[in-house]
Amino acid sequence: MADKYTARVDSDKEQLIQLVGFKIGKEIFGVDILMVQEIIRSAPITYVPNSPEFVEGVINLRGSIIPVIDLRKRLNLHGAGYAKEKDWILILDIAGRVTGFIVDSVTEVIKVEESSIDPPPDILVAGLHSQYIRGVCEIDENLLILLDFNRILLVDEVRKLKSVALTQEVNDAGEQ
Amino acid sequence: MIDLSLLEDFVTGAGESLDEMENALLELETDPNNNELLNTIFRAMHTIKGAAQFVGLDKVSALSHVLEDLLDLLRNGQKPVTLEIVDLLIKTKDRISLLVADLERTQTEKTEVDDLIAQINAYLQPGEESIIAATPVAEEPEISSFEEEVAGGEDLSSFLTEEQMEEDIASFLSEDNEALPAFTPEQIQDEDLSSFLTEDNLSEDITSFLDEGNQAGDLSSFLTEEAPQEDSLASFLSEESEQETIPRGESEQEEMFILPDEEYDQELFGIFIQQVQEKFSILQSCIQQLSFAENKTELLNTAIDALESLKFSANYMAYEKLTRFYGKWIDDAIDAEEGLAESSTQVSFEFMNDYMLKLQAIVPQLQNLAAVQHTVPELESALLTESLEKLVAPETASNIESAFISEIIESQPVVLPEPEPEKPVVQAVEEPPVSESSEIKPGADEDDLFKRLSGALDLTIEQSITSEPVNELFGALLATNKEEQARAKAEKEHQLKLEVKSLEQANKEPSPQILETAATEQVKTAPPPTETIKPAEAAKPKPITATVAEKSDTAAKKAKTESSADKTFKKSIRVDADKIDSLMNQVGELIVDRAYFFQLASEINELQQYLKTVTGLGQKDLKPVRTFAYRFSEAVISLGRTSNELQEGVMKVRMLPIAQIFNRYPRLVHDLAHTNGKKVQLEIRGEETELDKMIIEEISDPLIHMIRNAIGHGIEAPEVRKKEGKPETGTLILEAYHESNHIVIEVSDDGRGIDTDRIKAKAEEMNLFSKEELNRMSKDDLTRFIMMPGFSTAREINSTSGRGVGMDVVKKNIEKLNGTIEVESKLGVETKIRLKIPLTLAIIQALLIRVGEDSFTIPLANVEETLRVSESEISIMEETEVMYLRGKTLPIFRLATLFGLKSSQKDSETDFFVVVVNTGNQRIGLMVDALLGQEEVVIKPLADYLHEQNCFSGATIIGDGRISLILDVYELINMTTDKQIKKHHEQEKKSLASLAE
Repeated sequence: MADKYTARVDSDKEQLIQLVGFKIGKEIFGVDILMVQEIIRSAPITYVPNSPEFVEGVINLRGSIIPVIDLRKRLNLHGAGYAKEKDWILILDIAGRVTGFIVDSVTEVIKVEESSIDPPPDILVAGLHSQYIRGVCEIDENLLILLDFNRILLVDEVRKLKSVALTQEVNDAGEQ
Repeated sequence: MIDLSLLEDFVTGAGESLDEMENALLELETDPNNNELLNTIFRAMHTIKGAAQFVGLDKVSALSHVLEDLLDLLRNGQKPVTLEIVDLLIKTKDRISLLVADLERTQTEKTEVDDLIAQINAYLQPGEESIIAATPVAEEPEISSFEEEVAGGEDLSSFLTEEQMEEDIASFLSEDNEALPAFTPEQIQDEDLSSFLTEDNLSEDITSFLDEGNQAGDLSSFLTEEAPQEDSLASFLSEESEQETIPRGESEQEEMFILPDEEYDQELFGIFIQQVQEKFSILQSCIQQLSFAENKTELLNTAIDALESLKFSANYMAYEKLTRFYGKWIDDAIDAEEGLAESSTQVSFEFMNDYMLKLQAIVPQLQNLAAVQHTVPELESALLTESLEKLVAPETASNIESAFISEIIESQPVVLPEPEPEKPVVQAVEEPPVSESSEIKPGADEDDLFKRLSGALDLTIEQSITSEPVNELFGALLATNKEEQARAKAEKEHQLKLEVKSLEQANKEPSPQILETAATEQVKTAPPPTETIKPAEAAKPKPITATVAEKSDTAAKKAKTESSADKTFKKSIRVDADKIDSLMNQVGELIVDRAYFFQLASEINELQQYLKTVTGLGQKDLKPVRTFAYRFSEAVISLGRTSNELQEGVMKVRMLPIAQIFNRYPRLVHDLAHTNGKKVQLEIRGEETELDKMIIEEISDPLIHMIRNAIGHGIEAPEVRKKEGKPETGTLILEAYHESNHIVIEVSDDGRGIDTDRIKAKAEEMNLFSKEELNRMSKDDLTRFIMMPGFSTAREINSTSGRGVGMDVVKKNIEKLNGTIEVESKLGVETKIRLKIPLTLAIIQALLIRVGEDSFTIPLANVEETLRVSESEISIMEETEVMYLRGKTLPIFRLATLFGLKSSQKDSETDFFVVVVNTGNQRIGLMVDALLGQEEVVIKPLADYLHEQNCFSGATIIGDGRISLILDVYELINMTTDKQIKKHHEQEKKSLASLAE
C-alpha cells in the first residue's frame, strides 16, 4: 500500500509520460502512447490514385478502411530506403481520425519526464520543420523528437484548402 | 407556468395535428364544401387547443380557440368557405406551428398572436347580420323549451314577480354571457341572447314565450304535483351545498372551463376518482375508529395523510373548491390533533363526520363532473345553440327552487343536478329535431343530459329522499346511463361512433323507457297531462333515427378511416438512428464475409480440380473432398440466403414511405402558385413508395427546387395557358416508384417545356461554347445546361427562381446519392425530370473492374453498358479518343491514364473493355483492363482528404479482403470535362496568341 502510494506521489512529481519510440532512418521519434491504437506489420496497401503524394494508400484493418501516410514522405525525410516488407505501420487515433503511419521500425516504450522535454528549437531538427515537433528530449545521448501528429494532419488540411483554392483558380481561369 | 415534461409531448402531438390540419386545409381549398375536411381540421385544432390548455400555453390555446370559433361558423354553414378564409386558416396554422417551434426551442411562446386573433375576430363579426337573421329560428324553439321548464316550475307567477329571482337568473345568465365570449364568442348569438336576457325585458320575454308554449300548461300542472318532493330535495341539496360553502368564490364559474380537455380528463379523472374512493374508505375507517380507539393521534395522522394526498390530487385536477375543502379539513384535523396532544381527552371528532358527509355528497358529484366536463368543451366550441339550451334550460329548471338557485349559480354550475329529471328527459327527446337543422350532434346533448341526470340521480338516490316511483325511474335512467358512461370510457377513440350510437340508443331505447316510466309516474301524480305529452314525444324520435341512420353511415366511415389512420401512426417505435446505422454496418460486414465464403467455395472447387489433375488421385480418394466441396457450397448458399434476408430486413428498418416528404409539398405548391399568380393542381402518386431515411432527407431539397422550377418556369400564367388552349390550371405531378434497386422520382408539369433555343442563346451569351459547338450539340446536351451553376434563362430574377442555382443544387445532391437525373421536355407541352436514386446508401450493386493491379468498383447505377471494342473503332477528335456508338459519339477515357496507373494491357492487344457510364445527361466510356463481375458491395467512407480532389466516393472490401475503390462517376466525368474545357481554353489562348503574332 505504502509503496503504491509513494510510487504515485513520485509519478505525480515527475510527470512521467510514456512514449512509443520509432525510427525513420537514423532519427528516433516518439509519440504519446495514448494515441497509439495498435502497431501492425505492413498490410497490403491499396493505392489511391490522385491522392496527395504522401498518402501511400488505404489498408483494410478488420473491416475499416484506414488511410496510410508515409511519414518519411510526409516529413520530407530522405534517408536510405528500407525494404517495404520490414515496414511497420503505427495506427494512431488522432482526434478521432484513425490513420496509419509507415515507419521504419518501432522501439520499446520510453518513459520520459515531462520536464525533460524541451520545446522545439526554431531551427530545423534533423531536416524537419519545427511546426511538426512538439518537443525534443535526450535519451541515452540520442535526441528523441516528439511529433505533433495533430499538426501533421492539420497542416495537411491547410494544404488541402490551398489545393481547393488552387483548383478554384483553375476553374475561374477556365470560365473566363 | 409551462410544465416542461408535458411540453415535449405537446410538441410532438401538436406537430402531428398540425400536419393533419395542413393537409386538410389544402384539400379544403379545392373542395370548400367538404364538411368532412372541416371536421378534420376542427378535430386537429381541438386536439391542439385541449393539449395547449392542459399544458398551460396561453397563446396557442387563445389562437386555436378563436380559430375554432371561425371553423364552427364554417362548419355550420353560417359562413361560406372562401379562399381568404382558407388563407387565414393556413396563416393561423402557420402561426401555431411557429409557436410550437418556439416552444421546442425556448419553452416559451414568443411569437405574437394578437394580430391573427384580431383578424379572425374580424371575420367572426361581419357575418353577424346574416346569422342573426338565421338564429331566431333556431333559438325560438329552444327558448320555448326553456319556457316549458320555467312553466313547469312550482309557481311561475310568483317566480316571475320575485325580483330576487329575476336577478338571479339575469345575473347568472349575464355571467354566463360573459363567459361565453371567451369560449364561444359567436357574438351574434351572444348579442341576441344578451338583449333577450337583459333584466328589463326578461320577465316580458318569459311571459310571452310562456303564451306560446302549448305544453307548458300541462307540464306545469304535472310538475306542480312533483314540486313538494323536489322542494324537499332541493332544500336538502341547498343545505348540502351550504355546508360545502367552505371557501368558495367566483372561481368555480371558471373551474368548469379550465378543467383539462377530454383527452386527458377521462383518464386523469378516472385515476382521480379511484384515489378519492381509496382514500375515502381509509378516512371512513379512521373516523369510525376515532371516537373509541386508543391511538387517536395515529388514526388522525393516517387521516391527515389521506387527506393530504386527496388535496394534492384535487389540486392537480384543478378543483379549487375541493382543494380548499380538503385544506380546511386538514387544518381542522391538525387542530384536533394538537388539541388531542394538549388535553388528550376532550376533543370532539364530530367535525370529521361532518366533513365526511360533505365529501360523500361531493364525490358522486365529482363523478358526475366527468361527464359534464366531457361534453362541455364540445358544447362550448361547437354547439352554442345546444350549450345555451343546456345552460339555460337546466338553470331555469332549478330556478324553481328559489333557495337552490343562488347556490347553484355561485357554486355548482357544473353539477346542475336537475332536481326534476323528468323534464330534461322530455327535453332530450324533444330537442333533437330542433337542433337537427344546424348540427348532427344531438347525441352528444342527450349523452350529456343523461350524464347530468345520472349525477342528479346519484345524489338523490344516495340521499334516499325520493319516493319509490321516482327511485324506479332513477334506477332505469342510471342503468342506461352507466352503460353509456362505461362505453364512453371504453370507446373514447371512437367518439363519433359513440355519439351516433348513443343518439340512436337514446332515441330508440332509453327514451321510450323513460317515457314509460315518466308516464307511469305521471299517471300517479298527474294523470290528465300524460296523454298530451306522450304522443307528442313519442312521435318525434322517429325522424331523428332516420336521419341519424344516414349520418351514422358517414360517421362510421369516418370513424373507420380515423381509426385506421391512428393505427398507422401508432405502429412505429423510435430508435436511435445510430443504432440502426451500426446494425447496418454489421450487416455490411456480413455481406463482405459472405462474398469471402463464396470465393472460398470456388477455391475449393479449384482445389478439387487441382487434386484431380496434379496429384492424379482416383475418384474414390477424391470423394471426401468432393462431398466436402458440395456441402460447403450448400452452406455458403444458405448463408447467402439468410444474410440477404437480414440485409433486406435491416434496410427495411431504415425505409420510410416517401409520403414523409411528399406531404410537405402540397403546401409549397399552394404557396408558390399563390405568389406566382398561377393555378396549379398537384398530383401525388406512389407516396407509399419506401426508401432509405437518409435519402429521404437528402432529396427533400432537390425536390423543392424542382417544384419551384416547375411552378416558377414551367407552368404558365392562367391567361397564357388559356390562349394556348391548355386548361387554366396547370398540373404538377409528383410520382415515385421502384425500379429494381432504385427509386425513381418524377416531377413533371404540363407547362411550357424547356426552350433549347433560348438555352443556346444564353450559352452563347455567357460564352460557354462557340456557336458552332452549340449548334452541334444535341437537344439533350443543351437541356443539360440548365444544371450548370449560374445558368438561368429566366429574364427576371424573382423571389422563387431565376438565379440559376436550383438545378445545380439538384444535380449535386442527386449525384451525391449515386443517383442520376434525366430531363425530358417537349417545348410547350411538358417537362419531366426523372431522378433515379439507389434505395440505400450503404450497399450498392456494383461492377468490379480491374486496371493494372488494382480493382475498382463502379456503381451499377451509373453503368449503362459494357463493350468490347477494337482499336479500329476508336478515333481521335480534338485530342480526345472517341468512338461511335449507335450513331452517337462517345468520348473514351483510359482509366489507367486518368489514375496514373500502369495498364496491364499489352500493346499487341487490340481489344479493349469499355464501360459506358452516365450521370443521366452525360455519358463517357471508361477503358479498363478487365471486367471482374458484378457484386453487391458495402460502401465504406474514405478519409476526408482522400475523398476530396479525387474521384472516389468511398471504398469497399471485396471478397479476398482487398480494398476496391468506388468510382464517383459524377466527379470523374466532371474531371474529364474540366480537362476538356481546360484544353479547349488552352487551344483558344494558343490561337489567340498566334493571331496576335
